[in-house]
Amino acid sequence: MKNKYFRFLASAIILIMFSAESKSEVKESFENKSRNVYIAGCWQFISTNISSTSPIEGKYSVNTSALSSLNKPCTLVTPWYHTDEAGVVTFKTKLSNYSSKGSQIVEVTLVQPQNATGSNLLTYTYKSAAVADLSVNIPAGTYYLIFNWYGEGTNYSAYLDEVVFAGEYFSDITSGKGGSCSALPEKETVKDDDKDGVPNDVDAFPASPDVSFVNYYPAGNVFSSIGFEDLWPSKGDYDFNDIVVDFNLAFLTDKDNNISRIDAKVVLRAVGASFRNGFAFQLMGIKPESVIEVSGNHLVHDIMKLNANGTEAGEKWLTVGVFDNCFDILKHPGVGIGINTEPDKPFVTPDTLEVSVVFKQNGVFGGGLPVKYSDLIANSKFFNPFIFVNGVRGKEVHLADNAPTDHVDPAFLGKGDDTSNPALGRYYKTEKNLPWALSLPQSFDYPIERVIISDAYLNFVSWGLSKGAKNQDWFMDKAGNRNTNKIMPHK
Amino acid sequence: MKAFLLFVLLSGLFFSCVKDNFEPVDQTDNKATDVFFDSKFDWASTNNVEVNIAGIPGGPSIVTKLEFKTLEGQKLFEGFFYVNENITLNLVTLPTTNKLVMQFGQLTDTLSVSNGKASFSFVEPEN
Repeated sequence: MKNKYFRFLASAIILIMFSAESKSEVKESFENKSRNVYIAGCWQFISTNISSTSPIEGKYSVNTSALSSLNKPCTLVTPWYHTDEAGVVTFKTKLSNYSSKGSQIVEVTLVQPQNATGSNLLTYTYKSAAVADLSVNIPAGTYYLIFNWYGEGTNYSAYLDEVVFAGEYFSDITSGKGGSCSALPEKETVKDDDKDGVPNDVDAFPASPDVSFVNYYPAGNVFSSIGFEDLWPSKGDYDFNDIVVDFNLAFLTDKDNNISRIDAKVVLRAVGASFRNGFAFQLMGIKPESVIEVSGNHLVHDIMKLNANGTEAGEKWLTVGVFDNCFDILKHPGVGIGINTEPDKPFVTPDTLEVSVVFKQNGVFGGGLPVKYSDLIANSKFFNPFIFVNGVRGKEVHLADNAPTDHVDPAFLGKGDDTSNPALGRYYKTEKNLPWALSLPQSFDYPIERVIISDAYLNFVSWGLSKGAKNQDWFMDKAGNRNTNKIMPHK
Repeated sequence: MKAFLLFVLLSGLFFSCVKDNFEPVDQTDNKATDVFFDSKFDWASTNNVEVNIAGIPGGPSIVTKLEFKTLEGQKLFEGFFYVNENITLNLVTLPTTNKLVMQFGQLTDTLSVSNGKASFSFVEPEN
């Protein structure tokens, strides 16, 4: 008996849920005092306003000007709505006062895309100052309503409130304001092959529900560079060419702006040293368990200990090793100090490593932990690239004031020429506040071996002394910026 | 002896009051390793621009594509957002970028960047 009762109850609940879903409606109570909010939402007011003088319900209602003309109406135009089946629009209206000497009416006109002139649904003559509950029948389809109020004989105004529309809101707010908004495209005309809710015409991957958009760091089709000095914690020669990597990160996101995959292109362009350095990056704010898989990197010397998903083990934030020995990636030509840092030595063509970090596969997030791209970039230091020097994992070199990872050997911090002070958030700066690494928003034309950067880039010191205010384009190939004799030719 | 000591003392006072005639050194001609830089400078060659979009309060849940580009057409951001939500984004730009082109559904607007911030509101301010 109990079972039957529960089955009946469950069926009833499901039935109620479905019937509620099929009979969608939108209620507008005009409870925001700003008319501009409604205008932004595609309502149009002509001799009408939002008023708190004598609201029908709540604190505010729509209020007309004095109804003293039978020719010039006070008007309220609604946004577009859409109903799949015929329905009803209900509303409450009243006059501010009533006198039999006057005459006040409200007309409701239906406008549909196929009937732009509209058809009258209701003409109601107010018979008292009491609230009237009125309704009009709406055919299936896309529509909006025009409320026109007319009057003569008195200066009374009318109020409107609690309008309940059949169907769903269907104005394209981004198409205009007030009466200039267009309707959204009819659903059957919107193509969405992967059914992820993102129409094909704006979906970068219309056949894949896991990805819809691509965000590039630093920007589309642009490679950034980082040049490192690798003698940390001792000062180097400040040519910033001990390791030079170009990179471009593509963050592929889904319809909810969650990261589905990161495709990192990394180009090791120069090795101006003899140390077997590795390169990695950390993404601050992303937990390693969010990742399903890391692939495409070159870690063969067991310097980084990895989790099963390919992220580095023992790190709070996602850390991805790209390579653990630069000489595996860029082969030494047999002559010279390093690789691609001396113009008279053979040039070695760099390879591009394509590292992929997968967060979402077949609709499932790694560790059940979606990461919003907008949340990630909210931290301006979210991308934390670094080298680890000569096979020593704990000897990390980062950009100035970027924190080291959990694997740094704290014995190096604040030693030698380094003045890092974790308590102050100060990292990787000398006593004179010089960094051990520089990041540029374009591919770096780095100095020739042992040329201090300020000899190659003539406005570097000015830029630094002005704290970045002057000579912001110091690295660009513009007149007065460079001593090209001291810069490695870009190949 | 007293006169000599007095002479030395007065001479010291006189020379200590003589204004230095040294011209300020243009440190920008120096090597990077010769000068002190500000301890707060982080050597970033890019800027971060905080973009705030005020949605329509209580407005409908319409979701559409939001995109930011530079005036030169370089894409900085894209995603799918509700027009009734307030949105805050942190975009990486060149230091010289002072305008952002926003495309939100059918709406295109150019936002000015000032002090690292840019903003847009669907709702016009009240008069």
